[in-house]
Amino acid sequence: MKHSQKNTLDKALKTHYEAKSLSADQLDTLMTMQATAEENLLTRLLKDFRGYRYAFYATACLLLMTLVVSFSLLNRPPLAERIMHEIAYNHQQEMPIEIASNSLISIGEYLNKLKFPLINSSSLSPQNWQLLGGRYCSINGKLAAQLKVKNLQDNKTYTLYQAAVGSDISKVLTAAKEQAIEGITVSIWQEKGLLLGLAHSN
Amino acid sequence: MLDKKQLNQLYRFAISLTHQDDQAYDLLQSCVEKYLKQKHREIANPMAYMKQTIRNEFIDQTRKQRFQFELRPEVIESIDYEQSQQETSLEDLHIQQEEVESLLCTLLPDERELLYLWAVVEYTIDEIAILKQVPRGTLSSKLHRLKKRIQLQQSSDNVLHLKVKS
Repeated sequence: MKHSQKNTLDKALKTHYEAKSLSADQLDTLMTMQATAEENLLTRLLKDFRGYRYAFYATACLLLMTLVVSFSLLNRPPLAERIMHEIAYNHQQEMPIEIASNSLISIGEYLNKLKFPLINSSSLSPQNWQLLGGRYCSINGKLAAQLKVKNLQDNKTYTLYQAAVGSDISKVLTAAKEQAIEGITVSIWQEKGLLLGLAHSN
Repeated sequence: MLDKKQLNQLYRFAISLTHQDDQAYDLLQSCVEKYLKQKHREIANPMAYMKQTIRNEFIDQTRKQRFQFELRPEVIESIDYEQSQQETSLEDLHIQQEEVESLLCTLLPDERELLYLWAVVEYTIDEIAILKQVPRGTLSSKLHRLKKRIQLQQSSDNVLHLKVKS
């Protein structure tokens, strides 16, 4: 009885198993099974998408809105600049005064919803400025006072604004600022714990 | 999608468990079906997943008790690591190619799988221990016993051959 030469066990096992392989038919069956499943998966995904398309559109809209809001927030001008624009707008509206008086105390008593007392600004000396009256207005989303004052030197009417200073304003408004906005000169500053603004048409 | 080469590798792995070509194909086909049902999930390593599935499916089919290797804990502990390293080395075993089939017939599925992973996939004992989720000591003991059995079988075959010759 003739025996072939002995192999190491691992080589012999490798040879043994490598001789085993699927028939062409078996391979075709398995490959077809997979291809069919891929097609079904694609169909199901499309079907799922149709089912959830409204949720998908809603999510897309929400995402778009978030992007727009984020973009607009990022592109907002600095706070001091926004306040100056608001003051220029208030001045431009030329709203009538609610109380006509040259007494700051009387105006203060009338505007009793304010959470701060009105002050005489050291920048506006009584020799050069005459108080005409006042009304409520809004600055940076908070209730503020709009006072009409007359500059006795140039004989022009100015609007003077007084508002409470929030922590956000006090941080950015460390020095007085002045800016011309659409033909209106606006200056803002902090005084005695209040935000003050003065506007006049050029 | 599994390609033809991968399918053949898995088929050989299935044969190492079943030792029957038809049963291996049936096992592979049912596991491919299971794999395709899981396709919507992300499977990082399809070959590892398929091997595990084939193994689990085979254990289920053979009702586990015949497949799993059992060894008492005291026996496992009694085998010194270095000794087992030497004794479980299968590299020094030699066999004639035509004897492989008859050798595999005498082995349990778990033992055939072990030999397949070692010889064909070329896994180390540590890698096999991780894959099969068994302690290294258990695996070393198993290899030790397997080697002894193969040697015993070979020597008895030689005696048989001599008897036939004389």
